[in-house]
Amino acid sequence: MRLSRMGAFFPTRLSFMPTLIRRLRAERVEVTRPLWEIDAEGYGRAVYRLTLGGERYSLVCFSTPLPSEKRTDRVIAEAWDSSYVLFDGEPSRAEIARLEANAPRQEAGRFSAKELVLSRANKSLRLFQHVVDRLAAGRQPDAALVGKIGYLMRTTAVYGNGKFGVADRMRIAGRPALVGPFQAEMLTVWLIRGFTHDLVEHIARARNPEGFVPLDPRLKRHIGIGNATGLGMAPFLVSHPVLLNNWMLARETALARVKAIRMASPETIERFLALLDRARHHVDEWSVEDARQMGRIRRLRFELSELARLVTPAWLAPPEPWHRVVAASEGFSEECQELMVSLVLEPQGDLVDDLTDGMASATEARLEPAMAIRELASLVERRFGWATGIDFTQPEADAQFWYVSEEKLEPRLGERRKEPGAEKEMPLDVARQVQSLAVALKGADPEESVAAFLMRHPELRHVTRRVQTAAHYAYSEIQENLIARDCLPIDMLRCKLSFFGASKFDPKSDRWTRITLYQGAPTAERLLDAEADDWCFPVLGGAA
Amino acid sequence: MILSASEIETTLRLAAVGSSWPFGLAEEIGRAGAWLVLQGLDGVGAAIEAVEEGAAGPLPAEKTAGGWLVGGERGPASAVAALDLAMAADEGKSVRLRGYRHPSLLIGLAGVAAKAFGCGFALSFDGDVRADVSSDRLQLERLLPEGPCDVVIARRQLVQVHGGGTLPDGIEVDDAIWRKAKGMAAKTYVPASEASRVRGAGAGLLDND
Repeated sequence: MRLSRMGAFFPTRLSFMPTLIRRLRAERVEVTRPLWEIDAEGYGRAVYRLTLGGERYSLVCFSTPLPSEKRTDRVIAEAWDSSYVLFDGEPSRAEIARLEANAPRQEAGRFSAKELVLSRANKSLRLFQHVVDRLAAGRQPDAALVGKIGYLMRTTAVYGNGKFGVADRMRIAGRPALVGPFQAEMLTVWLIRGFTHDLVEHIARARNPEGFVPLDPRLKRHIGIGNATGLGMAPFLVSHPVLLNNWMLARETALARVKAIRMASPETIERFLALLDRARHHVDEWSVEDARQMGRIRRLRFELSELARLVTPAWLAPPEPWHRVVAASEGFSEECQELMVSLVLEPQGDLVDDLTDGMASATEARLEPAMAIRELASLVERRFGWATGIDFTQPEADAQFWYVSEEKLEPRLGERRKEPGAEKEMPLDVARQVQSLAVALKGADPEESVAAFLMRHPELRHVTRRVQTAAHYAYSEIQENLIARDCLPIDMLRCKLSFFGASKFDPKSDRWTRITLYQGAPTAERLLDAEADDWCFPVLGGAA
Repeated sequence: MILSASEIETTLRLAAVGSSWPFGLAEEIGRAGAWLVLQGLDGVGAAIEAVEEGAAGPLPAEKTAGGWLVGGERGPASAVAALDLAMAADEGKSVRLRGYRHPSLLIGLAGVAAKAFGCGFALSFDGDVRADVSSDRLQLERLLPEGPCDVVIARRQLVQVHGGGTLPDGIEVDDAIWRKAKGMAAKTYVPASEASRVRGAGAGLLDND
């Protein structure tokens, strides 16, 4: 699992957002709005409510004025346009008041186990104001601008699992509706998206009650929710090896199942070709300022046109069509290969959707003290050749270090030989640690147990655990030197975000990106529409 | 202060790292502290007390007819080693830990190991106080000894696996000990500078687009 490939991932139907939408549809979830105390300027509080898996959840929203000089997407921000809490149950007036005193302060507030998720979002001023102005004038927003920006607000953090006092993950992990990875967070973001839709309509209506028009449902569906993501996501992938393995394993298993299909039905062929056509339009609409990514997009456009010429109904009719599609893509870029993976999986829900059940992780990486040193050394040799081959005498190999800044505990990447703090480095230098382990193992008795070995080498406990974990979880390690000068954190971000279901990756540097979430996904009022589950690679003019 | 288990585990792990504990041992300390508070015990206090003692590695253990004897250094790291040896030992063998000073933390470490391996541990303190530890349950006959004690650790087959028990609506931790833990954890943070801020992930200063 190399970074360059991870950095080319696209969302699939196994991603966490489509998984949630399927569950919402299967349960015929209805969203109500029991509280709406928003003034004419769009400020105030609101509550959305739904029942999922037999449990009641409420999204509590606060919209507050924000001076433009304070609007930043970075973690170090201290104020936002809006803040949110996913509440476990129905909050009382007193609880809403408590949340109103804390949610707008985000990391500086305190929360309780009744709160499952904490989030905030800033307006996309370009689109938010435009949509309000147009609706108030009785007109629909400019479709091109909607297509280009894609969201009214950007979330800049979505916190769960005990952060700042919210409920621990294990508190809800047993609930069938939330058992999958990040399902509470994905539900929160979907509800926030609905709030942003309601908010622009409310402001426009207040401005011109007689002449106002609501958003066209087709445009509304294309307005997702934005997100700005930085380095914080990268350490997560390294510190959750079993979880990472489970995500990758589900994806690879799904692909293997689909590639093994002997013959494709005419209906599936038709569906696949329609998806390919839609994906081409989606990529045509995907345009970013980042030169590296834009170059990749241009190449992808060309490669998709080449594949579209090759892959016809007649070409897909002989045996093993999906295996051959994947094989045909291997001559193209990794972006193209990964997009084809997403496309061949999409029509095969009956065959692959059960795999989402295994994407969470109830277990953690664990040490096996009884293992003999001979076996541990063999594991290093067999599984970590990618790490032991790196020449760490070269300054380029350890040029960077990961650390946590005292400034709002923001994860950052520093230059080892130019910046202070390397002595406080986070343990993301997996390859270097593996080399230290390999050296120590050479001097150890092969018959000795790991338990006895670690008594002399407690500093190698963490990496020993990682190596042993890799024996059981083939996809648990990113096989890359994460402290090398040429390491691109953006690739890790894209990998994780693709598993969320993000699209329209818009890198702003090698260490942060904007994305769009839920673009094309059904809104609450259209959740049960027949075509509502068909929203991958959305295009404004197409089915999604 | 009312806290989540995740906050406790993370802060204790960082407190240990900030006190120069190796990361792998710090992970165990964090988990053990969180396990203890979920049993209603003072896991934060137990972990911080142990962390402050330092992470000097134990002397090599001695293999005996009955299993292993861990002596020499009696600090908290020796408890981690003793549990490792108990996991690696043959059925019916035990590990004796001499003059150990942190019995409460040892129980937490045993709980974490029990959870990871789906087993249980029988712990005997000074041959007098017996504790049975499984992944989510602690049975303790009476109060643990306060001073250094001899501990015998034996691994047991797990009779029953529980589903995780009921989580409290937040865990109350003494303000003073929590401030201390946060202070120790803060030693892992790198002081902010204008240069590091510029190199952090993010836009320019503002995002008014």
